[in-house]
Amino acid sequence: MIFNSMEYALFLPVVFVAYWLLKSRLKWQNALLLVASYVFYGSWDWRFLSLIIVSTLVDYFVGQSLPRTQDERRRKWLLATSLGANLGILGFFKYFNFFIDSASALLTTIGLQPNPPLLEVLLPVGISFYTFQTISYTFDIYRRRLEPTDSLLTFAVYVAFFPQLVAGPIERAKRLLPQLASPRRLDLAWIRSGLGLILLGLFKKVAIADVMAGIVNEAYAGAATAGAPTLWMGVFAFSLQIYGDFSGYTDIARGSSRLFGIELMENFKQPYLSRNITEFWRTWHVSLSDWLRDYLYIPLGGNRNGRWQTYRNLLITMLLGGLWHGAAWGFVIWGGLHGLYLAIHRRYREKVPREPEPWRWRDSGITLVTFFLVSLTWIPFRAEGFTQAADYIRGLLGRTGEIQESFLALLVPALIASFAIDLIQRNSGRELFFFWWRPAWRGVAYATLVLLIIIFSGGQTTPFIYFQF
Amino acid sequence: MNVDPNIEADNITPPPELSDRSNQRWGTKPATTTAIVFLGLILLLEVGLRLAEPHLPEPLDWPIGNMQAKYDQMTQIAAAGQQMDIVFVGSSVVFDGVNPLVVSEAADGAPVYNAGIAGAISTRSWRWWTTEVVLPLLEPEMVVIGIASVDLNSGDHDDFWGALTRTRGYNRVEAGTEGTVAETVEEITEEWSALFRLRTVLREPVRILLEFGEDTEQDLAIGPLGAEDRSEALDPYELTDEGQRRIREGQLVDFQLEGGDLEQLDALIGELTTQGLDVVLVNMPVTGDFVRLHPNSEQDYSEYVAMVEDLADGHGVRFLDFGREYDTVDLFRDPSHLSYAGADQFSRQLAAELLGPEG
Repeated sequence: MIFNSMEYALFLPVVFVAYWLLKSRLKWQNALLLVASYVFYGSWDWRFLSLIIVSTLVDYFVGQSLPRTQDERRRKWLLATSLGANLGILGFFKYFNFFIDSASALLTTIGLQPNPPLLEVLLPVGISFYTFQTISYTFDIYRRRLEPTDSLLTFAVYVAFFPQLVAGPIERAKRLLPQLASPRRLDLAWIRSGLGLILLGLFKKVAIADVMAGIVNEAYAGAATAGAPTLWMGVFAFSLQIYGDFSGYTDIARGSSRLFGIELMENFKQPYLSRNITEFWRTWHVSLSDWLRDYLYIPLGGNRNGRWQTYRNLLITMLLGGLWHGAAWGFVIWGGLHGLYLAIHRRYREKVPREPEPWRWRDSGITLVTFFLVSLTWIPFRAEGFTQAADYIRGLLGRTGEIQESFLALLVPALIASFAIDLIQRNSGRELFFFWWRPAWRGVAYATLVLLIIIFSGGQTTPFIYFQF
Repeated sequence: MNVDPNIEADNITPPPELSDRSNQRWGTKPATTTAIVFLGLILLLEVGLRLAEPHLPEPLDWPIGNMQAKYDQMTQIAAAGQQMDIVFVGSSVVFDGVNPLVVSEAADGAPVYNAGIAGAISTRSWRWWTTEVVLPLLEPEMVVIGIASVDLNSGDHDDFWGALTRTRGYNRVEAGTEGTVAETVEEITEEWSALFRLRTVLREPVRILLEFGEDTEQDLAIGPLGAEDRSEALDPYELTDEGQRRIREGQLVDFQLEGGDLEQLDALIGELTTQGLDVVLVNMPVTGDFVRLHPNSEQDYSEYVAMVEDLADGHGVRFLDFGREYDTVDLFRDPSHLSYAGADQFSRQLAAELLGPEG
């Protein structure tokens, strides 16, 4: 069941009505959310529900046990139990074949002929998101920054809350648990803004991301033969596709959550308006960047041990951040390149310090340069293997070909729409900026969004890219 | 109120749409205005589209009309429980060049179908069409693959595959979603609303501008057994300078045989023979003009023929070479496509070769 499917369009209102019929019965509301979340997740593959339940139980009991002991060794054992269970699940289901395959390739290069066992393992949807969420809960308790919840039900909803279960945002316990533990009241402003976010998210997904997918798929399928104009259009189309897809997903997730009176964090803050790579990572997939900073970069030493240690920590963090996206070297390269850019930018800022300033029109040039760099760096992320990425880059650098007008006719309006939405949001400081328009113009905005969603929907329901991570 | 005393919340800053309500133009009256404008615009468009519908291009589930017509026809054949003995597959050279009625007559009325597609077609596309659509629907015993050198030119960019994969027809076949609740709801909505019905057309504003008011029925016209509709007379053969340029710089540009198209054909033959089907590879007739328009003229064409013959030998399938069979342009409508008379003559000859002396 994905957000842009008919099944979800039927599922969400049913849960919504049942949920508010239970108002003032918090436990029942949470129980309903838990059942709905398990149904939602089970619609992909009910067998993988067991993994969520295991992860929930392990972290709940570890969370309960940690404050009861002051013995540091025992506390470490408890933390190791949680990390072992979560990273074990993640490692087995997501990375087992990757590491075996890579080790085998390495042994082959030194003349050995290994015959490693590869497993037919399906990747459970959203596994990277909920394991990171549960790890953060236990880690925060271990570091004495969070008290555990006594309610297993509340904690189970925290792990499995369906709007953010399969692709985030990766919520911290400090933000989400208090909301789940407190009574919610039916508020028209929340419902209205929730629906507004769902509408905006659907527009980004259906009318931008899925339309760009056609150009991207064709450009990458023709990596070895297509001309440079098609490949360049593919580069920018993928930038828009992944942004529209993931931020569209996040909008729908946050909108759906608001319908239940629960606020999820903003995961994207107009990232393509960033003036440098550091700013990009403060505005792109914020919940993952924050997680990596708090549970990887800072424990590694952060920027506390001198310049070169800082660069090393940045690189390690981004390499692992890349690997988090998937078991493929393309993701690692993508992460590594971003780590390198971050280190270079950090060095530059050391030499040329500058106070953060709000975005102005005069920043357009440097914004476009950053967008261009980020777009190019998506190539190893999107390509299916080294060969395709290399073919693609070679083609970009000079393979002749004609401009496909049909692609241009889709790409240019999508670029304009995407940047226009971001600019208005950034300058107004309002995500749902059309809420502040005159009523008649608001009607025009709704009609336009709905029309574009209708026009570009139909046929295949394309899954969200980040569901595979 | 936080009912779990253990949990201390992080500061959650409410977003402006929840905190800053004073500036929002909400209330019963503004909300009514918004609703009226919203519904009014949707209704206006719905009415406008209903009025314009007869003048708008036909909404297609497939990238081109003849593909849609053939899909519908094959679906009907399959629904009637019929199977075909022989099917012809390939691009426009097959669509125009094979008259299945003539072949069927030569085979004593045996069921024969021309599944060739005319339009901006690519080998990858008609491989998919053959294995995913034609075979499951028609369940033939013999598959005749007709090709011309243009089909194997990997130098021209395949932009048809992308167009095909974006269509509803392709995605329905791939997903096999026909008959789901979502499909049923979608069909009902399309029946009820012109906006939903015409949405694939609305995605192509340029097509609307170019084809508004034109009779597009012809695109969907097709004869029985996938035969070409012959209700319109063909212009006599003429090769203008512009026509030559289009072939040289379009279909035959950067002529190269090694690459994607040859691999697709190789894979298709492999898939068909693995299924135990009788496969015949036919080099379709072209004019001398067409051969000369290759970058290296005769040399390119001879290399192409040799390569296809090798491919057929490699798979152990029959290869019939009609490439230079006709040295008159009278049997052609353009350098690489047979006319009605040419198609009839070729189909008779082809049928004789396929069926052998015993029929």
